[in-house]
Amino acid sequence: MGAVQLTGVRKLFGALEVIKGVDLSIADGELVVFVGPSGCGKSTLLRMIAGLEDVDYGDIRIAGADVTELAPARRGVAMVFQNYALYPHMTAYDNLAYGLRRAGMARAEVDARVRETAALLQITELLPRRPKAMSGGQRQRVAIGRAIVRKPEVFLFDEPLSNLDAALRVEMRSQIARLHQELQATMIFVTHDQVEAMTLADRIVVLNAGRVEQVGTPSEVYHNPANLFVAGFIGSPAMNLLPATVGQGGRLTLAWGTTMAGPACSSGMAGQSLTLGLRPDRLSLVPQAQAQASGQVTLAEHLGDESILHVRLPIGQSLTVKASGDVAARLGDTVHLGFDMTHAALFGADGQAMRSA
Amino acid sequence: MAILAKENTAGASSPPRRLGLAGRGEARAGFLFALPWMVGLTIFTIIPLLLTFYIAQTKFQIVGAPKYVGLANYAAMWIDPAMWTSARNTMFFAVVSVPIKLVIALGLALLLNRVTALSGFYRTVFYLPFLMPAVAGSIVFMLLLTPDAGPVNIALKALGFSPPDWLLDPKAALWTIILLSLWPLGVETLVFLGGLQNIPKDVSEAADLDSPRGWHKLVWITIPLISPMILFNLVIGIIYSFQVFTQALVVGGTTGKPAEATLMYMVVLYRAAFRYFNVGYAAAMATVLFVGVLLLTLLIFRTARSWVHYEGDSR
Ligand SMILES: Nc1ncnc2c1ncn2[C@@H]1O[C@H](COP(=O)(O)OP(=O)(O)O)[C@@H](O)[C@H]1O
Ligand SMILES: [Mg+2]
Repeated sequence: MGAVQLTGVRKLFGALEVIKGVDLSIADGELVVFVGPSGCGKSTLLRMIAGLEDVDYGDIRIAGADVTELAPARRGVAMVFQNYALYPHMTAYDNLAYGLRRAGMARAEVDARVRETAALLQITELLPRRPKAMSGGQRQRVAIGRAIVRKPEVFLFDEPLSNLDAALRVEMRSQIARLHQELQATMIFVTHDQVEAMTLADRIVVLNAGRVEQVGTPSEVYHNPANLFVAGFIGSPAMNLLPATVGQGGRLTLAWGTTMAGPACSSGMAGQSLTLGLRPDRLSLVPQAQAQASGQVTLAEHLGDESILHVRLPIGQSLTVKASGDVAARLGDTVHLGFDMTHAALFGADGQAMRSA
Repeated sequence: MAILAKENTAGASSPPRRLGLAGRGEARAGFLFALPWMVGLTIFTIIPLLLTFYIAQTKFQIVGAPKYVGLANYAAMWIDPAMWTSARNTMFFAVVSVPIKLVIALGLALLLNRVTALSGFYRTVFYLPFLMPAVAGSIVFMLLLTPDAGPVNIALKALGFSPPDWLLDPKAALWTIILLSLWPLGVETLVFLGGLQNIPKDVSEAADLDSPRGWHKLVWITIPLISPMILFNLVIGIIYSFQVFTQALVVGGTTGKPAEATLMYMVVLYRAAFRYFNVGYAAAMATVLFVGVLLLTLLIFRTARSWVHYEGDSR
């Protein structure tokens, strides 16, 4: 019912092309997260779906109907804004009731819907308050309530958690996930925070400079990044990207001369220059004899159950290692690193991932 | 716990009045900055006001000393038909012109608030008439409204209307003054425009998502959010409309031509002071006007609590 379909969608602000042709299909009931660096066009794309920005080229369908030219309120979407955007002169109750009343719903039914929604979000005691008398988290819950109460086909969230403190953000994140379970509605959630994206999404849409770089489940995007951009953007700490050349039998030669067996897809590509992608948890401290690389620790972050080491090799390349929490390495120590090639990714000269056929 | 409570009561009975050295300097600087304004207010407003209250109780004819007459001037006002006619005309003028003015100014502000390439240009153009003196503006409009030769009537006749004699028909003349007074809308429009531009963009967009009808947003979101500006324009508009003078004098002279239809309170006051040199009587009229407008303003402020929404208000 609430499926969303974008076809060839483009947006220009003057001469600046901000959305450069997006094709995307979102299934009914799916929770899709748009993620990408700041300024890549996430908000613009979401606002085009909401009808708050005109679509210059292409079209948008919601629940099968072409809504490209339709007014925002006629699209069956509700939006939650980053700064809450509650009506400041109304109580929480009136904020929730406003859209229903304007749609001509009977008073008793409005009251029932508002109270049902308030109970779902545990904001009943906030109903008589004005936004000014609420904390940020409370305002955001009321803003979500205002979206839910209208029972839209599609929910749009534009970085709704970025103004909240870390603890509240985690709590609200799980509340949104729970809401998605209960309402079974289509949700599109914009964030620049890849942890939020990974934890919430059924599918992630990675955007960069107005283009879709990859669409996939969190696991696909994490384990099989489509290109160097996705590889570098998804995952924290970021993936290690190492220049390499392919030798005989698919063996890889790294920039500092070490040679090692490559993943299956590197065979038959002798002579090519590639980029090897290794997640930090695929690197480990090993005795010198088994090491693929050695270098000096430039930063050691001991997080308790794990330690993040930043290691600088003599040729200048930096590597990030996710090691266990009991690692004793300190700033300035020389360490020896072993590479585990399971899940290693290879990217061609064009930046696209190579897949083993 | 007991000690804390004791300290609290002690603190409450003698609040810390002393300011630090920096605080004292700051207070002095603040006082000095406010001083010119306070001196001006005293010399040009408070002293004349008190003098007016006093002169209203005297017979004073500019030359010679004022002679105390008690409430005689007020008694004379009570039985002066010109005063009653002018008060009626002025009230009619205020009741009609202020709402019309606010509605037109709001309409203009809503148009100007649309983002277009030319909005800066339009804003300047709309403010320009305000820089022109009201006398000059009124005379230009009178030329436009001249019965036979004026462009307005020529145009209306060409469209098949039979326009009134704007200046000599007693039924039309008061409306002519209302029309004249509407003309420089610059300030009201700019005040509304400032209010509109203060509405957060996302709040306005949330309203667009809640209802597709523009007038829903206007009535339930936009107008409540600019209610402080409406209050301001309303109060200022009422204060000024009760003092309507220039347009009335240009159209009706000091006799409120035609047939006292345009005789305004301030014109009668002016006539008493500067034609008949009955300054005591004029001062009594001024006092009544002052008290009347003050009461009306207080009444509006009283009702404002229920319809004006202030930013930062959590009620
Ligand atoms: N109204 C606008 N006029 C001109 N440029 C805009 C406008 N809105 C956004 N942009 C530009 O479009 C790009 C994408 O913006 P946005 O969608 O807000 O990015 P994101 O939400 O991913 O941070 C940015 O470069 C921004 O400067
Ligand atoms: Mg954004």
